[in-house]
Amino acid sequence: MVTLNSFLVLGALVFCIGLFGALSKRNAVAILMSIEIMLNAVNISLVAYASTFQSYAGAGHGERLTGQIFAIFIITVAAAEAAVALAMIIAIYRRRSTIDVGQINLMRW
Amino acid sequence: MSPVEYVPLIPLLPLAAMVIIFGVTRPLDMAAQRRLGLRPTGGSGGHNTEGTTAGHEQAETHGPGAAHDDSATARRGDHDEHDEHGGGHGHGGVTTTWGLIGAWISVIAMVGSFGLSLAIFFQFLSDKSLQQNGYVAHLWDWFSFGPLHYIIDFRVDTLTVVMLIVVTGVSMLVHLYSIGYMAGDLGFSRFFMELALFTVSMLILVLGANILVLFIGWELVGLSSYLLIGFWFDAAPPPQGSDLPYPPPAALKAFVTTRLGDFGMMIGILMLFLATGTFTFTTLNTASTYAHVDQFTVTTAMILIFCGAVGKSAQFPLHVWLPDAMAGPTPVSALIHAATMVAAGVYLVARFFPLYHNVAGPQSLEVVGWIGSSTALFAAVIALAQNDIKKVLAYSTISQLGYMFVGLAVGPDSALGIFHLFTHAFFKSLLFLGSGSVIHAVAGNQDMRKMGGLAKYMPITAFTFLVATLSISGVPPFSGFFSKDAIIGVAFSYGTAHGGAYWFYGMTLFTAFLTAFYMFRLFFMTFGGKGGAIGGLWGGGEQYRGDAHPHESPWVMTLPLIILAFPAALAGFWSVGSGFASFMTASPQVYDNPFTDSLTFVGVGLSVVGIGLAWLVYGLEIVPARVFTGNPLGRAIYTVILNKFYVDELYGWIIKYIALGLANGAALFDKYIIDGIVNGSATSVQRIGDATRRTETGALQNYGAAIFGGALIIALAVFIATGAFIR
Amino acid sequence: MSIDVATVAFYVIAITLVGSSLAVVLLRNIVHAALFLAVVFGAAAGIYVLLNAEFIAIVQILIYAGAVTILVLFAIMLTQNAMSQSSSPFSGQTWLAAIIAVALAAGLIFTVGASQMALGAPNSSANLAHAINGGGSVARIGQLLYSPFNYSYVLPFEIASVVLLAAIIGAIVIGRED
Repeated sequence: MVTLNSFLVLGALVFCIGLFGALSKRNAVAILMSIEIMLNAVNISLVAYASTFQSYAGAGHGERLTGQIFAIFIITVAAAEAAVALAMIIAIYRRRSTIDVGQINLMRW
Repeated sequence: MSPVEYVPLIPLLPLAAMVIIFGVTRPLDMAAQRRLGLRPTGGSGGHNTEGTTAGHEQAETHGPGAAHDDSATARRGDHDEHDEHGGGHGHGGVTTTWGLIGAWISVIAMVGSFGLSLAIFFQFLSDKSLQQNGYVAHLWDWFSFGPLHYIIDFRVDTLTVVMLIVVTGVSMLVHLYSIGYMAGDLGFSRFFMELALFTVSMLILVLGANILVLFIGWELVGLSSYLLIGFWFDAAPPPQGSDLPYPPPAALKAFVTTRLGDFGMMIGILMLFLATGTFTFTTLNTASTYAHVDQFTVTTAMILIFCGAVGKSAQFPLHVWLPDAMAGPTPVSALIHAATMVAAGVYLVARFFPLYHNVAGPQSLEVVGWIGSSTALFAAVIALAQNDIKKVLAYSTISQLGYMFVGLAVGPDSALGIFHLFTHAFFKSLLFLGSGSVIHAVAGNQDMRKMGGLAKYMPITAFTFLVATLSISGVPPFSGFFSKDAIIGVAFSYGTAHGGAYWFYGMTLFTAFLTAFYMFRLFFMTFGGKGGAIGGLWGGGEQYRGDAHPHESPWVMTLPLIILAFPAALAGFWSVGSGFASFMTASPQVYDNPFTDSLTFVGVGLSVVGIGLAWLVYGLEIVPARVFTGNPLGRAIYTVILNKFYVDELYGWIIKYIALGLANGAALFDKYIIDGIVNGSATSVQRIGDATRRTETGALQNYGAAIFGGALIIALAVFIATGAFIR
Repeated sequence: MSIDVATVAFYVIAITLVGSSLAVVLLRNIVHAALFLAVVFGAAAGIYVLLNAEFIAIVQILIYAGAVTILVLFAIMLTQNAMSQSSSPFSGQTWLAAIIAVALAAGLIFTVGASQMALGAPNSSANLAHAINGGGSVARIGQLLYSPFNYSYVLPFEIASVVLLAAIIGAIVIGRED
């Protein structure tokens, strides 16, 4: 039996895998990829909630689709974010010949 | 109106004189000095040449040309007859007309004060109820705190009247004398200003009706004493290791040493105030005020107040400042350090006498007696070996003040001690003024080994000096005999009453012998010498050992000597028939007539022995002084005495190693602990900042780790707080 | 315990998703990682289908598996020699990141298990029937997004378009060679 919990646990696991990647990778593109994984994990949770509460009695027609709407907006913003972030990565690369975040520390004390 | 109602005028007159000198005559005097080229025109300070050109006794003792400047002063003209003698101090200056006007104004003011004091005195003599109750002149309310009222009042009672006579009388004569003595000094006007300030302060001290007023006067006399000891503040320092006085440190020493005693005095005053809630003497001296006060508190307070008297009256162990204070001009020594200010301690104890005698425990007066008697003996021993004429007199003063304290300690009332204060003021100021006249005559020399045979040069000085010497030696019928023998006699009966504890009696008696010896040693060394008339008593030119040209002093100096000689000789008769004691206590007192008491003649006999011994050693020189100092033991004792029992050295050692050590310790504490805390907080902030700065790595992943790690910690905290793990 | 198709599908997709996610973060070769990222996006789309969110699933494949993956591959291509191949792809705080990730996963799973809202099954038959009757969730989403009437997301939608426009312009400006 697949319950809401299964989806939430799945989302949590994927989120944490993405988090690990975001915190540990040195390549900026890899970090971006990890962040995309994290966003997907969140989307899974949102959609799972949306589908669950859609089934409850008394719920209006589709009002419980709010979770899916959220997911759509997240995908939209993630796409924009990916575009801008990749543009920045290329700009940094062009200027410093590296995308190793360990070496990009202009704000260091 | 009766004279006593004008009592505020007594301090106001010298105050007015001081203000006039300060505001009018001194500026004009200084302007005139600039015109004569005595004082540099640039800068208003102008004192820098005062000490070097005008001089100072010790620094120019051996200076060529210092002895007689008569030709130089005569050429400058426009001055009166004093200056033909003015070389005595190597002043080399001119007393301007304005300086003289200021001086005479202050003399006239002092004559007025003295006249008023005399009038009040006679009014008291005739008015019994005034003797009993005194008179209070309410001046103004100072301020009030709730139930506490601080008021400025003058109170005149018999004790105050006696002090008024002494202070105004001696001050008047010293003012007159100083016109001659200070002639030609560039600081002439300043001297009279400070002298007037002292007189005002001393009058406030004795007139105060409560401790506050007394304390104001007490500190003001300390200030004036400081100013006057350091009058020649720009004198050249004496050569290293010499015993010559040096005014600036002497002034500081006097000020600081008396302040030590004042510290105890303030604590004592505050203890009394806390216990009784009043500062007024009449209330404080009433036994019923202390109905609910622990006797121990009163005893402690009284001993602490006595500390102030110990400092002011130069009693052991705070006596060290008075001999050094002789660095001041001699009239100052006569007025402040012999007759009046140093007697303020005696006055203080006498003022609180009912408290000491009736309320406090017997320990308080025993402390007074022990300090007084041991100081009397101690100072007399030191005086034996001193060669500086003023030092001898200084130690003699300390010794006599000790007598006064013994008199207060053993007497049934304060009359004994105060009467000695009264007579001592006259003969001791006479001695000092006489020594000043001598110093004036021998060009500023103070070393008795360079004197001798001066009697024929200056007969008036010598004769008046002899009167005072006889008086202090306790030879009847001179005044010192009455006051001192009364103390010795009462000390004997005190010993009898206290189970045969004759310590005070023995010490004072032996001191009387020493006093007679060293005073006549002084007289013979100064005025007499082997081969002089009357067995060496009245020396002449062949006895003179110095190289100056001795001469009699001008009339402004000899007149005070002559005037003072009368009370110095005759004042003692006031005590005959218990006159003085009855006056002081406003009730008939009966003392033994000293002439009928066989015990009296023990003291007189010892004094005569002392005089005779001095005569043998220094007058006839039959017994050479080497008899005493020739053998090793005598030599050692002599060295110790000559060095004043090394008290100064001991204090120097204490200050150098203990006080400074503690101070250095405190400084280190301040530097490393206090500053360490302050600086440490600053540096620790810096260090923490330095350390936490490292967390700003600029690496985004570190920040991300911190965010999620922090979120985890918060989540954990929430889980624990809500008990999520338990459920 | 009944085993239905949906359950089996869920576990297959879930394992694929987790496995390919791990591959993305753990693989040294960034190109391989990018390819596994496409697998992740696809698996996520499968999860959406299981949740009756077919519109999301389609959008996921269109945008993520299509556009974003291509974009990422382009970026990798453009920054080809940026990373020295010999050095580790992981930074110095890998172990810290691992601890944080594991702890967070544990915390989230614990929270999910303790939650009172974890009720019901998302993909019940009633749901499906409802979706079919109502023209599926796509129609409802369209109504919610575009309806000019009450209770719609038309304003956020327009704002999202502005965000996208800004992102496009921003990406061009930032990425432009100057």
